[in-house]
Amino acid sequence: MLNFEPYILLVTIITFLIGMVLIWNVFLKRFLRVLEDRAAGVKDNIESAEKNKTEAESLRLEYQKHLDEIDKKVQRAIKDATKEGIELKNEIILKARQEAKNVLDKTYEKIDLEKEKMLKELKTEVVNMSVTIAEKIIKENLSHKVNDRMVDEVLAEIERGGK
Amino acid sequence: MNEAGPLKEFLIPNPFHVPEVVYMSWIVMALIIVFFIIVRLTLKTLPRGAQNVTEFFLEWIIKRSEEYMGKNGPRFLPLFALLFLFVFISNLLGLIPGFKSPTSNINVTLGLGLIIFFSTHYFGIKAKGFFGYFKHFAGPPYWLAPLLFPIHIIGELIRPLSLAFRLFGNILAKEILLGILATLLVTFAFTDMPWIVQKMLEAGSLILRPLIMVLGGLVCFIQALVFTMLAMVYVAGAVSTSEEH
Repeated sequence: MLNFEPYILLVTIITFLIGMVLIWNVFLKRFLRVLEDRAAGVKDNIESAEKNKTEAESLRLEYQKHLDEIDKKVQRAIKDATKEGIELKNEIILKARQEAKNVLDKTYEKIDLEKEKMLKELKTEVVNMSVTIAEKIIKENLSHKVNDRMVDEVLAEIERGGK
Repeated sequence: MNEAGPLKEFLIPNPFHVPEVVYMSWIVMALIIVFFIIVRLTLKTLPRGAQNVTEFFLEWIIKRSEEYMGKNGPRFLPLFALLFLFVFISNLLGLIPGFKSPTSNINVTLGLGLIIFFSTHYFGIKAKGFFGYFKHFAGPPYWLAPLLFPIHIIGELIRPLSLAFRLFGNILAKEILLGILATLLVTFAFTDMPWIVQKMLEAGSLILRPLIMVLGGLVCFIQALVFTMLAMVYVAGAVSTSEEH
């Protein structure tokens, strides 16, 4: 059980050393390279992700800036449009008032003309009626001269009354 | 201990009649190398299956080495990884009927102890230089060198022996226990005694054997762990500088 056998001891040492060299060359070298590659890959991925994150953040800020600018432009455009609309509205109202005034003036003029026309027609009608009445009342004994004078007096009277 | 007997020659042929313990240690080494070759052939950046287990084990060895030896630790990966695997699988081999743990032979464990002994001093001298390395055997305090130097030398010489005998003793005890239980089972079956007593004894042996095998598995792992950790401590003590201490 406790026999010392140098042959077995030596073979054990040689077996172990050969095994160690074999395992180192066959497997461990490659294995450590894979581990290093993976660690490098992970490191690269993390760095790349962080870079992307930073880029995304800067892009977001840039877009935010753009959006703010667009918002400002929109607000300005709305303000301008509102102002322009108000001006246009005022102008239209002014124009409408002007037109309405013109129409009113023209109407007044027309009314005046119509009034004058009516007055003239009324005068003529009154004269005719007066003549007719006078003719009926007086019928006879009035000279032509007296008639004219009477007509003129009536006309003058009408004119005074019209004014 | 040699439980399978006649079946053994048929199941584990040994055409060159190599001593059994050497043959078993070759089987262990072949198993380790074949396993690593298989893992090597299927090595991928994203690990799966056996590669996962291998990576877990090797990273554990690297971490422990770094813990004891700092940044120089991973340099000793082949030594410690193979040491652990060789001792662990050698220990386990004895649990399979017909096989024998190479580590239940003192010559194998002494061989492993000597590998650690020579590695320790080789790496120590390489790291600190011949005189630098042997200087720490003499002190401090250096005025006690005549006393300390022989004590340290004896301590160094005892280390491979303590490693070898601890492993050998534990594994041999496990094998003897399993052998005794197997022998008892057969003995009780053919002994002339009251039927009930015979059956009880047989049942006892039958129940105890798997339990002892489980315990043996645990012993196999613990002994491999202890052997590897002590080897790490010895090498670390030899190569580490005062700053690392």
